[in-house]
Amino acid sequence: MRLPLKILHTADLHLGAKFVGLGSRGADQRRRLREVLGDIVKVAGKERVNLILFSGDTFDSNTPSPESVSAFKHALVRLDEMRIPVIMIAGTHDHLAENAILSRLETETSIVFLKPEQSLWENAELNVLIQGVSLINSHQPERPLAAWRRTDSPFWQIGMAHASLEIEKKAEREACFSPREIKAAGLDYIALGHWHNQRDCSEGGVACWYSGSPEMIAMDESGSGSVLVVYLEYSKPPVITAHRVGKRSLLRITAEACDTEKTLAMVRSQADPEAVLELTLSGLISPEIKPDLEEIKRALKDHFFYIRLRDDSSITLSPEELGKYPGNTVIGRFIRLVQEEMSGSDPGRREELEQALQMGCAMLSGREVIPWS
Amino acid sequence: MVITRMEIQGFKCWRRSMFDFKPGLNVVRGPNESGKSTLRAALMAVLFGNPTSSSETIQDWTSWGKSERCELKLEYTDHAGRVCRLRKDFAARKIFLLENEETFRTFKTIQTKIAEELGISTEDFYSLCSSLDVRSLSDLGTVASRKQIGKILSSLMTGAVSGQDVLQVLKRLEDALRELGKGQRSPSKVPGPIKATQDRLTQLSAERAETRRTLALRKERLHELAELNRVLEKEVSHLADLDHLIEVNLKLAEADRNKVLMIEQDTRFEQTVELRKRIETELEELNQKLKNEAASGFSMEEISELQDITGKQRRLDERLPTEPSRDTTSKVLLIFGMSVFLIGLGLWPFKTLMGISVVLSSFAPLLVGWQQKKTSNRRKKDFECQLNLWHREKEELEKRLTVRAKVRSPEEVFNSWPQSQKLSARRDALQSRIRELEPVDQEKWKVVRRELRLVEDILNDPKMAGLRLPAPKLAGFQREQKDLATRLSGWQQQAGRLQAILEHEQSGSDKLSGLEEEAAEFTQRLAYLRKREGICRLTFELLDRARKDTLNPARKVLEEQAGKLLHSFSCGRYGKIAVDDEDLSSKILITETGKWENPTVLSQGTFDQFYLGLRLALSEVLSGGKNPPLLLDEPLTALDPARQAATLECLLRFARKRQIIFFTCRPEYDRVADQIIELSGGVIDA
Repeated sequence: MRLPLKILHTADLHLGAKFVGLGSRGADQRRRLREVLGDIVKVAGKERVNLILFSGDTFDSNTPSPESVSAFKHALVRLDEMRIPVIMIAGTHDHLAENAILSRLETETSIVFLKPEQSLWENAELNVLIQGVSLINSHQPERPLAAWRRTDSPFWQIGMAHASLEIEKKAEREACFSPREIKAAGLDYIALGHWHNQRDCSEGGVACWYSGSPEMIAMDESGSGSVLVVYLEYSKPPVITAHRVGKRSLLRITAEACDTEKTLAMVRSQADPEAVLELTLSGLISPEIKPDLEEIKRALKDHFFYIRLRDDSSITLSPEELGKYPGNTVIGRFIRLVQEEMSGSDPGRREELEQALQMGCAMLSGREVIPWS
Repeated sequence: MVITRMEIQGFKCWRRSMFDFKPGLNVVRGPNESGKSTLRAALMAVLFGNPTSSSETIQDWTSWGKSERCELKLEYTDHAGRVCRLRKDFAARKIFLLENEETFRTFKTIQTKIAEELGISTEDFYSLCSSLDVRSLSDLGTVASRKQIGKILSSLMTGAVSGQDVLQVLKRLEDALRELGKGQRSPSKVPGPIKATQDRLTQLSAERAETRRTLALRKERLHELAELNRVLEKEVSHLADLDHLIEVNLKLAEADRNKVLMIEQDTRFEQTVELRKRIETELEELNQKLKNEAASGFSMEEISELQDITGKQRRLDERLPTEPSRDTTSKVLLIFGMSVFLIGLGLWPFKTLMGISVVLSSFAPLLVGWQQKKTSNRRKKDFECQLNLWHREKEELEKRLTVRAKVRSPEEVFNSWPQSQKLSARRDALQSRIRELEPVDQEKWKVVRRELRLVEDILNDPKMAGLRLPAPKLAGFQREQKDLATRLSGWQQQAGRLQAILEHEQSGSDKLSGLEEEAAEFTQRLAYLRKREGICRLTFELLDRARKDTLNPARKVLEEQAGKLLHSFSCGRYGKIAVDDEDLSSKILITETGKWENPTVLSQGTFDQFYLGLRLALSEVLSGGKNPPLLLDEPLTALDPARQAATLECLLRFARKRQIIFFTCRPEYDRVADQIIELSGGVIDA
């Protein structure tokens, strides 16, 4: 008979990460990553968890900025006050190395850092035995779960690893594990890190989850932004609840390119200053109304955290439309010349020609087009 | 442009004059030297003159007999139908243009606006094609300006639909491309967006390199610190071993010293205790002996006192009170008296008198007996009292004796006194000796014993004993310990300094991230700008091709238009002109011979008509159809009446779409004029 246990499981915080895709908003997102620590501590306090597991990549590198380290230490102080032990393993970014950040933190703070020379942590008061595998570089050990077996300990038995599920192995050299290994481990819970989207990998009655990043790290991570609270009660299946802590969300909108005003109004109605907008313009349009992406970006700038625009629309010229521009006029000749160039050209060249067509038509029809902005 | 009013102040012969013009043909008529050419010059000056200039030409414009420079005002309607007012004050060196309630005051801006309005940018060009007199008809300007016009003609395309628009568009694109690429080939104060982005990227790259260097340095410092900490850990451990070894040896040395001290102290304690025990035994024996002695415990004073008491006792015994003799007399007397008394009483009833006499006679013996008895009693009482006192004194002395003699008899005491005194002296000596002996503090002795045991334990500890070093070796180790401690202190200070630097300096990782993000943004922007540049160029190329495909070269238009005009002017005799766009050298097709000839072969009248047509066509082509006002000074004087009429007819057609200011001294043009301005001769002050 074991006492019930409540765990907060998170991973892949990537404190101090670079966001080259966000440009000048990168610094804001880095600040947000530091703030999310405070939100995690709040969840831990509200849910009265017994311990917190950080399953790797808490830091984006082994040389994080003092701001990142100090934010983490500040969170640790608050967790210490609440008497919540913090168990950590090294991931691919903050892997074991000389002067590894986790080793430094281990000497300076109260964290429990599971590493090859001390891969187990037992706490009789909490009735828990945790085994964790820290990565010594981005891909080693290659099979971190291979050696895990349930021990004779009467305590809750939990595993921590930072690796990929083999079925979706992407990189050639990457720490990974198979569903069979999950089942063979026979633990009460396995706290995984590495994938930024939340995912249930439970197998053979062994609860096994990727918590996902607590805040969005890359654009295609709509499954990030939460931490998991795992409640273990004797002879009952684990209860796993996701708690939202991330602010960023991804808003994907596809709109017709032919009516910019309508598109802007529609997008504005879904404005969210914390969201990243991915707006795709589509449809067939005439050369004179090809939308100006920079102008759209400027118009929506204040309504979203970051905007990514894609123009999938293409210029179409039906014979009727072409008839409006006779061949003996400059514009008519110009359109025909562009069309001749377009036929058989590669997509890149085609895009350039479309834009040239748009620019030429707009300027010939008297519209002021600034060729850059 | 349609000139509506011209105001002149102090320009050559014109002191203060105002002329109103109308669209169409304005005939300025006056006799020779009435100021027609001056008015034309004033019009040229107000259109192109620079009031801020100090050139001699401007000085030449000064009113005759005056030193002040002129002031010219021009009112005109622009292409959009707006009234504009231009004022050039050559005296105050000021310029002013009011255009649609907007005011301009800089020469460059105003001239650009005028050039746009006229379609002709320079005075030379304007003189060449729109301000003509009969003398200069064939003079097409300098070689340089001819070449320049040739270039313009070869680059200009005109005549098709949207022809003008496309030129503007191409110009805008060219400007945009120039603006985009500004500063790329040669340095520019205000570089274009591409150059600015490239510069920022270069700057960012340098900043990134610097930040990377800082980071690398930090990493090196971290490594150095880790290395230092490792060495420190190892050396601290070595120092701890040395410290331990030296400490053990120092402890052993101290234990050796302490053992000697402790043994000394222990021996001293032991000897003292033994001595004390011996003295105490002797004392005990002495005490025992003394106890047996009767005078034991007696002091000299007590003995003296005892002797004194025994003396006193002896003397008291000698003074024992003698008991008084028995008082039989009183008893006899009393018994006698009583007997007499009783006899008297017995006789009383019978013989009273006798009785009374007997009774009375009894009183004498009774009284004497009673007196005797009283004296005897007093003596007895005194004796008893004395005896009591004696007994008490005796008792007192005995008591004192008993007390002093302590149960012993005084004789015994006195007999044993010498021996007792001897023994007492010995005892006193022993007691004095024992007093002199340092008292043995048992606790202290226990401590000494315990410490001795501890010291022995230390000395006997095999672990410690195993570490015992010979003195020279220990000294060597102590030197090493001192050196190591000094070195360690240095390393610790170095580590402390490094730690402080690492704690205080910015790691730069966030800064590097920020710089890389910014660099990515600028790289994207550069790619975007380059793409836009490519698209601009592509648009330009395609539009230019479209223009070339659809539009005619200006030279062709010029030849056509000039040919048409010549055809009209010559009443159909000549109609084909060829112009070389290198130097504007022109040829005319002589219909009769079918040959192209130099116009110099023509008669003076036809020659003038040829160049008039060429200039008017040039004016149209160069101004891009803007139709600037034509200033014509007697261009028809060399023509016969028929050609004059034909040319005039042609000019009147021209006047429908562009203003002509026709300067003449002949009145025959009055009938076709839209406005006649008549000038009188001499200096005019209107």
